[in-house]
Amino acid sequence: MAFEVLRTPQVRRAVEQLRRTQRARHEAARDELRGRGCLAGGYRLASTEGGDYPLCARHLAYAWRMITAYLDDARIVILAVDRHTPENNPAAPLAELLPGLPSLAVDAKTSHRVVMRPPRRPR
Amino acid sequence: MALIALDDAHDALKSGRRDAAIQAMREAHRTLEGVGHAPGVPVAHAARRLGVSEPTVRSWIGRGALNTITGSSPVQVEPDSLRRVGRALDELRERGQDRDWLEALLDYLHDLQTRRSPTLEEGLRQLGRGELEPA
Repeated sequence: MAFEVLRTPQVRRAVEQLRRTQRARHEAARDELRGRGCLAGGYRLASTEGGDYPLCARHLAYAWRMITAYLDDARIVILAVDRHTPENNPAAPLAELLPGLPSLAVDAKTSHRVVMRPPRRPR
Repeated sequence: MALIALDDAHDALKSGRRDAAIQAMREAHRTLEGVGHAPGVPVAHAARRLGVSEPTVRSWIGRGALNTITGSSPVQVEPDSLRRVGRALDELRERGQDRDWLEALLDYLHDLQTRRSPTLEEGLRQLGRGELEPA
């Protein structure tokens, strides 16, 4: 089954700015979405706030990531392609309370832990 | 009197007399209520009680997690809110012993940050307006 993959105008503009490697990764991810649907979307965002559709994030090259929404069983929208450069560590306010958190947060700065998160399950 | 009652409570607990301990603590509470004292808790004391720094307590006051005694200067923390936050922290610290739970919490915080990124918000707005094109 082939999936219809759409994008927002801002994604088109972002992709135009990508360097060759980054753009190749993006195109590979897009093609994979067409073939495998949500299985190629990366990991599902755990937070339930802020949208009517399931959202997934997939890391591309370097700090670049692609965020997708799943409108229904056949249509996928690439909502954003941007660089993941958090201005602050969201875990920092809790580090004082939870001594185990800082070491995990350091691990999370690498992409490995994120990649290890399970992909979104097909509906 | 309050100190004597607390000592009684301590002894009662040590000897396994729970009801007597509760009664002694109630007596201590009544005694302390009758003593003139400030209605709130100073920030430094609240920080010690919660096991966090004073700036954290002030930050939580600013965010509304802790209430203050109206008009108090220097600021005093309202005791009920201090107890409520203390119980929540105890629960958080207990759960925080579990590495899986901590990892899930970390994932949630990172994802929440992603959800709030301006790029994603703009993407959702464009989706809402139906501004879509083939990828």
